[in-house]
Amino acid sequence: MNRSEILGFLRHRWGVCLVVTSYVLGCAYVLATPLWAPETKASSPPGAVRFLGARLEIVGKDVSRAGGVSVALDHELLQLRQTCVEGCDRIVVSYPVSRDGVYHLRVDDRRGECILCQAMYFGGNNDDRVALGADGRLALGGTLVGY
Amino acid sequence: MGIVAFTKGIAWCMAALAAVPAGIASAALLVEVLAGPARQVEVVFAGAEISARGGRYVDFASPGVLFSQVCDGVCDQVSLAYPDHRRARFHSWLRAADQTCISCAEGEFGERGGVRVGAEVSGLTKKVVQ
Repeated sequence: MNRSEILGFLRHRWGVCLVVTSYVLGCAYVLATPLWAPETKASSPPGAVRFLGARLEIVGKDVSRAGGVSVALDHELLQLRQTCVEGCDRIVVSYPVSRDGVYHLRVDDRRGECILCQAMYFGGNNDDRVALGADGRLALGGTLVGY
Repeated sequence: MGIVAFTKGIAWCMAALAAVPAGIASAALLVEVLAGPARQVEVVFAGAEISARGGRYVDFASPGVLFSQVCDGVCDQVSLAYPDHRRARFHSWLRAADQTCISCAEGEFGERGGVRVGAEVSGLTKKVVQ
């Protein structure tokens, strides 16, 4: 097929070519999306945990000071369980959220009694923190980012 | 003749407009099929075992979750459960106090969707140790 035959085909079948091109562009859009989407790099850990839509920081030292020995997070898209061995570790976790909702956080002491039981509303991009408050009590503080 | 050609042209343009979302939908379906079905996966960080290897910093990254732990003494036992794809790749880094890598690996969730991060990373279908 030489050049003039190709041009003749395109001239007579321009409608089909247009539809096929549009379809291919649609496919290419989806297939190329990961190329510019953020991806994890195997060579370097996420030192500061990136923001995927919701982030929770558990300040281990504060949990220990308040007498907490276990932390449980229950959300539709993530369940986390932390069992402290000596002092509680600092944990930062980030996960994507697709819609509004509520998550539940529970911190128990050595006797299994709840020292912080709280539900947190998800209305957008949450950046929450479990730490000692100004009154010296363990609290779940939250900020909605992007509102 | 002119009206017929014009109408045909409009029809082809409409078809081309409809072909873009059709392409997006079919490629998205293909990606979904290739990625495997989404299901609940569980990642367990075996704190005592990590500490026994001298680990202090634990990091984990997948499309469904990013996780970072700084151990205070013996590392805590932590488990995460979240929805992810069978062939979704994840990375785990287990590092000592001086930031040197003790066990750093990337892998895919196995058939059962359970991964244990300890002295080694187990429960994978594919693993690359760096």
